[in-house]
Amino acid sequence: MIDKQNITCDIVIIGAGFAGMAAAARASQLGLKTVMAGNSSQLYFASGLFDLLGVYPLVPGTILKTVETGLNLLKEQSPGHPYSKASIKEILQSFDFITHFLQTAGLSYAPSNGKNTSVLTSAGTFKPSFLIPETIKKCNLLRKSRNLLIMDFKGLKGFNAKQMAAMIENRHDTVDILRIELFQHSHVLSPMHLAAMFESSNFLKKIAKKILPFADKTDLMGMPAVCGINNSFEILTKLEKITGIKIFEIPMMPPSIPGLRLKNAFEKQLAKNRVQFLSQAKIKSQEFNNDGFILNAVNQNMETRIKTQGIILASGRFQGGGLHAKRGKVIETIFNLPVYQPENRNLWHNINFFEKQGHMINGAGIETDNVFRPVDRNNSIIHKNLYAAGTILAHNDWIRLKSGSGVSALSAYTAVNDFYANSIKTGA
Amino acid sequence: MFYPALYASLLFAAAGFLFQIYRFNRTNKLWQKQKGFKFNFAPAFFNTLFQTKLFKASKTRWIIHSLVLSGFIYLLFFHALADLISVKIFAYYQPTVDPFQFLRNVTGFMVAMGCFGFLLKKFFNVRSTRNIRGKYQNLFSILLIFSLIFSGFMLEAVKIISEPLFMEMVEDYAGVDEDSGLDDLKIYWEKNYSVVFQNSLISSYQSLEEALEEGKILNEEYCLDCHSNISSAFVSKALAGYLKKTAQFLNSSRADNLLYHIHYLLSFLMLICLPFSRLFHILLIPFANLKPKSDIQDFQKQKMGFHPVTLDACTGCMLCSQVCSVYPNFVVTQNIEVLPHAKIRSTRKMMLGRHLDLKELSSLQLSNKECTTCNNCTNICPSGIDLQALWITLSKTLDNMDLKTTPAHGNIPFKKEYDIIPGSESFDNCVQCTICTNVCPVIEYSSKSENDMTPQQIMNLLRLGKKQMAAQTQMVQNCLTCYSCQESCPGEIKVTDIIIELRQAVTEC
Amino acid sequence: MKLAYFPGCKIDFYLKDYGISFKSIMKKLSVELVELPFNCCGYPARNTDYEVCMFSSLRNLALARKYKLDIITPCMCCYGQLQYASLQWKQLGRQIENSAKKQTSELKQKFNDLLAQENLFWDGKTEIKHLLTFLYNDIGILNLKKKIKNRLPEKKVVTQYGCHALRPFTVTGFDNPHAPQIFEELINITGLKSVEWSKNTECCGNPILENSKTLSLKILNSKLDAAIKAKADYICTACTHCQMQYNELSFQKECKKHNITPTLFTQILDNAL
Repeated sequence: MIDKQNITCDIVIIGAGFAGMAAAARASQLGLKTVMAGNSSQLYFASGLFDLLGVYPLVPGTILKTVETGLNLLKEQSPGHPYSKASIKEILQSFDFITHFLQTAGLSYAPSNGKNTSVLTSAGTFKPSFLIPETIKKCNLLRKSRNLLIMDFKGLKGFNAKQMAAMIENRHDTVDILRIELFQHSHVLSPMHLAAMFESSNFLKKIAKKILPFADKTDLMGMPAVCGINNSFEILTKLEKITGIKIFEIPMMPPSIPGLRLKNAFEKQLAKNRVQFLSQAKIKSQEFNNDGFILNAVNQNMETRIKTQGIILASGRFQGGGLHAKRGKVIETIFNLPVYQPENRNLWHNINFFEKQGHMINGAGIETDNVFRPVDRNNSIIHKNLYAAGTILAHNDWIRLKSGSGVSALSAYTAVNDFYANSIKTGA
Repeated sequence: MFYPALYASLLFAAAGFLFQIYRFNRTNKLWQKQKGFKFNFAPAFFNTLFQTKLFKASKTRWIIHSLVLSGFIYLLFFHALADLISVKIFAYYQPTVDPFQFLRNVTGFMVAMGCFGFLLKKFFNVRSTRNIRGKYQNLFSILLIFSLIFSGFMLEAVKIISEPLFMEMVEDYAGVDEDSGLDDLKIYWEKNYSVVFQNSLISSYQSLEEALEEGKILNEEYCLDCHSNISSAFVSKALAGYLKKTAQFLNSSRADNLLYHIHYLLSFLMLICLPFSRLFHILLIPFANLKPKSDIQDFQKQKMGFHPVTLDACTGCMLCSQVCSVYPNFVVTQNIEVLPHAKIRSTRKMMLGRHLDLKELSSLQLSNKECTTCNNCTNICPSGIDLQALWITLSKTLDNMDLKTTPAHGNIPFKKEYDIIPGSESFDNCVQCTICTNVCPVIEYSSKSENDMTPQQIMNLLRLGKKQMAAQTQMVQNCLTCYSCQESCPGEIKVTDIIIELRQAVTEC
Repeated sequence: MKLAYFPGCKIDFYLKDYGISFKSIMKKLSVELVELPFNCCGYPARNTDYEVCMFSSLRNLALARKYKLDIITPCMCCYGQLQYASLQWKQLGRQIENSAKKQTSELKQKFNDLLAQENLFWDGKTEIKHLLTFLYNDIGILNLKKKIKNRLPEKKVVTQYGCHALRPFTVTGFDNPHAPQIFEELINITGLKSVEWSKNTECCGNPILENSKTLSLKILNSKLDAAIKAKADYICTACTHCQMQYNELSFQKECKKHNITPTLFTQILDNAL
């Protein structure tokens, strides 16, 4: 009794997280007819910062400075890690592609020069990241800054300038605090609404007026990452121009605005590239033979039968629904692919949450060949055009390594490229 | 007796008319009046006389109405007011001469048929809308007209068979007596004009054909100028046929005199009732049609106005309810108050100062809120009442009356036990990530006094089992139902649908 | 092509122009519109009574089905509601197939009985089209482009999608709910130039105009700021309620000051065809 539709396309991307978006970006740029299925709202939780490899070797409290040294070591020590399947050049290429793609959508990232940047977070701590938005870039001036100003907003949850100042005041001569109260606003001040207000030039002027008294005594200002949603860098530059102070944004807890900007940029550009997006659709059944796949994507309203040549599986881990933990073992939800995992449930987690070795379950996932095609236990590929990308991959403890975006970008980029090369070879 | 009664009833009617206008105008201060005087003469004229709107709306009803209207107009002008009109126009006018005799019967028959049609139509309308309260509303007017016509026919029939009347006429106009052929004339009239004599001559007379020949000559000489053959009075003749058996009694008791009084008294009764019954529509339809309908400009400038007196132009035809956009609402809830014809009735009651109690008023208010102001009823209303303006001003008027239908504090009872079921498909997935709040335009633009909670807080209240508290928040009422939250929720919770469900749970119907 | 025209309640009184220009476009595209005695789509009743809102929609759908016609509507709210009802109806059906859930089967039976009173029956086969999706998918944007006779001057246009057609995507299936495209593309083929602004998928504020007017107008006025920022000449709508909201007198006055005209898509297209 459901409405049915049929779609034929070159490639289907299952999952609309970062890896899915990256894959769709590459596929649509190569001119492939692309369909995406998934819930892009997961991207609200993205920080908007791209990590490649933040920590290696895994010594607590250390930060990896030059990415290349860490990568070389990683490749040596864990050959199963997705990074070991590619050269460093390829890894950097995939990031280049993403930044270019986002640049066309109007979201600019600062060039990295192969080094991690320490980003000040709203908790007052520092976190290494490889590629950061232009609006946050000036946080690398913190080391030289003598007189710092931190601005916050009354009612904005998860951002307290006083608390941050207490954490970092020993690094500077003075740390001033500017707390802004917005009278028209009542109970909650949600970051997205605040960011929307920054879009109005009148509001910007009002804020600038409050900052101006500090103009003489400070050389750098940090503010929560709410400086506009679209054209954030323009707005930030404008604010800098009026006040004469260098300004950087401090990323907040999710849902964060840099993540929203990332989501918007991807969605806008992908729509322009005519990627068909089946929002909140779930793959209910699949079948495949040598020629291709037939998927049944179902949402409330519509059952879509998709005929496709290739598939990028970017359905994420447990939260995204790509993996599912049954009582005895972890399974892959759509194709029932073999999942690399600890032998029994007792080994999933260590007793200590902050155990140095991490938890075995975080290494669980899909094992692939060098172009990220899932393989079975005998190391032979499941299907020549079935790829996996993103956090679903095995041997990829991305939270501890701070390598989430890098793995996603690399695997998505490589997989789509390989599919494209194959399809040209076969003349399809 | 005739003239005193006439003057008295004219006086009554005029006073009644003035009283009605006064009664409606008394409530006028509640209703914004349209500024400026503009009149639509042409449509008013055509719609009044030819019922153009009714023709478009319903052909059967138009036929029924036209039967009554045209028949009645003829009867009024060329029969009731014959002394003033017919006599002056037609030199040879006599009520018993063709074509007047024939036309009177035709038009009378038309009116009677029309009344019958109305009754039938009413019967079916009542059945289809189960409109029990409106059952007897128009019955009075229809029956009044019908009895007036019926008494007329009866009067004519009784006059036809009346021997005393015949004798009076012979005495007055015919120069004949017992010797010079009165019997012949009698025989002729008994045969051809259905007069019933005490002693019927036809059966006992010997040379019948001779007598009829004689009678015919006499008839031509004395009577034919004023009396056409009664076969043209086909209704009365048929009636007379039925009355023959009781003719002796009717003749001897001079029933014709009695019926004559009844007939004109009924007309006067109609005159008196004109301002107080549905008959008033006759005068008000031209008025209602004269007034231009309010349009979107009036609405935007907040100059919608409704003239209360035009409500009496309503004939209760219920066409408005048949095309009403919220008719399915009535079908499901059986709440007749959502239909325009019922609202008109309640409004009229309210305007006339018969106090509706608070419950009735708030029920009217709630029902009127269901109205989508689609203009269908105004478009179809054959009386040309500006119903659209009525609903809009009515809703304003009722709002100004400050009827508190829901207690400001305290628990509103849930209408039904709504199954806002906790579960994996409902709010249980909520992790309080605040994305719904972040994308909500209401939160973005509202000030403290305008809004109290955020969508994410509503979900949290539901998780805690505080349905009541959640349903009574301003947030639930302010929700734009723009579905931004639902579309953005990473947990795929149907935030908007849940809020809408909460709304449904507390709105009283 | 023959379609049942579902104007919705508001066009006849509040927005006559929309109806006129809509019909004119359809005539030029040689689409035959059939006017059936439709009633309210059921959207207003959604806030008060589930059954009323469902039955109102179902009656319309069944009526169109009786004449074997698909429905086309220029109003996004009507579109959304009819889609919603048709989906709900199918789900009622599905639940009965799966498990004998008594309450839902009773509800479905009740709707069937009520429809049968008017000799109607709905089998779920009426398709609902909105003006924009109809032009984009059924007529085809390339086909439509060929039919443009007067290319309009290159003025800047920002678009206002209506909420109820756009979201929830799983119900309406209108266009990408986060980054919709079809409206802009339809604008661009007329010669006008659609420009980006931040408010294209945000609510116009009309649903709460009666209950909390100040809040509703605040939302409305935020549109003006965004439109000025985008240097737009026109704000274009394809929804009865959105346009009614933009027609609010105080807003019109403000718009005039900044030379911005809220306008209906049908009027633009009508001029171009």
